Amino acid sequence: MQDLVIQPTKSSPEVVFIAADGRLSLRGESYPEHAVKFYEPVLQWISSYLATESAPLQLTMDIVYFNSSSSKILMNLFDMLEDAAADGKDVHVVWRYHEENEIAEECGEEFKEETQFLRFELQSYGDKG
Amino acid sequence: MTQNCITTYPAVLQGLHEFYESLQEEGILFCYSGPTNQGLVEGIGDILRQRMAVEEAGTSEVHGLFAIFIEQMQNILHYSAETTPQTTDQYFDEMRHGVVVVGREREAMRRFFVICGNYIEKSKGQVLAEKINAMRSMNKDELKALYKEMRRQDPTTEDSKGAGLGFLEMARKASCPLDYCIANVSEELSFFSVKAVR
Repeated sequence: MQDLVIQPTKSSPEVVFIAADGRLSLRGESYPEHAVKFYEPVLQWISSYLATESAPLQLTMDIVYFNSSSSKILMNLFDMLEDAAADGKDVHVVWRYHEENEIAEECGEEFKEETQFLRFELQSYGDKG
Repeated sequence: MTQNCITTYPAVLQGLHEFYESLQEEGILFCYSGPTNQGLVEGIGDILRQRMAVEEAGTSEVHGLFAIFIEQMQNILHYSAETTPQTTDQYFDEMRHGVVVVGREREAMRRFFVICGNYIEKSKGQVLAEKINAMRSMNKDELKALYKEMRRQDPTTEDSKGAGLGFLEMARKASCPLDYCIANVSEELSFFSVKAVR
């Protein structure tokens, strides 16, 4: 399977999905004009990874801000991972946020509340990352 | 005040200084009126963050107001009924028009606010009003529960390009209920404005 790498813009996150070790990361801001269009390849990649690879999957999220349309799509994404975890796949989500970004922390908690089978970990960091 | 004006359109030019001063008196940090695109949203978004840093706003205040601002602007971007006609060369995307005002209260709590306005089809006014009225009577927990419920709903069948979550997101980030106004303009159009205070 090919890796998926998308460069960040001011309003869309950096996407780095490495197929070989199942490490995925989304980093940056997320308020693109057309969120559905932006996330289409992202969801597709994860869906085919889950269908074809049996190795564990670790998704690291470090989103400074995301808008309501992105939020809806991220919910779909976590649902997809949750289903896989319920089927016995090893899925680990690390939600990273700056210690002063209370909103990002709260958003992480709200996604965590929606999941049950996957490991959802909140991780704060300071200015040094 | 003495003025020395050389102009063929005195009304606009002479009034501009007065207009500028009156914005400052109202605590307006900046405003924009006209066609919008994603680049504008990103650009003004930068200015908003920078301007709030100058105002020594706290991190959570900046993040909260930014979230409100983006939802407000993307409402104009996606739903305004007033558009710039498409050019024939297809180089430019269609642009929707609206007005955005970002300010800070002059008195007491010195809260930041974002006001946005744009034309809407008259028939949509009632739906918007009902949506916001319902939110106005909810507390934060109720807003959160509704947000979670809506987030899981399938994309709305209407002409919704976003998630239909925008107003809820604004209501959750606001420190008091959203204010709005729907003014009848013509047979087909109303002007819809909404204010969110962080």
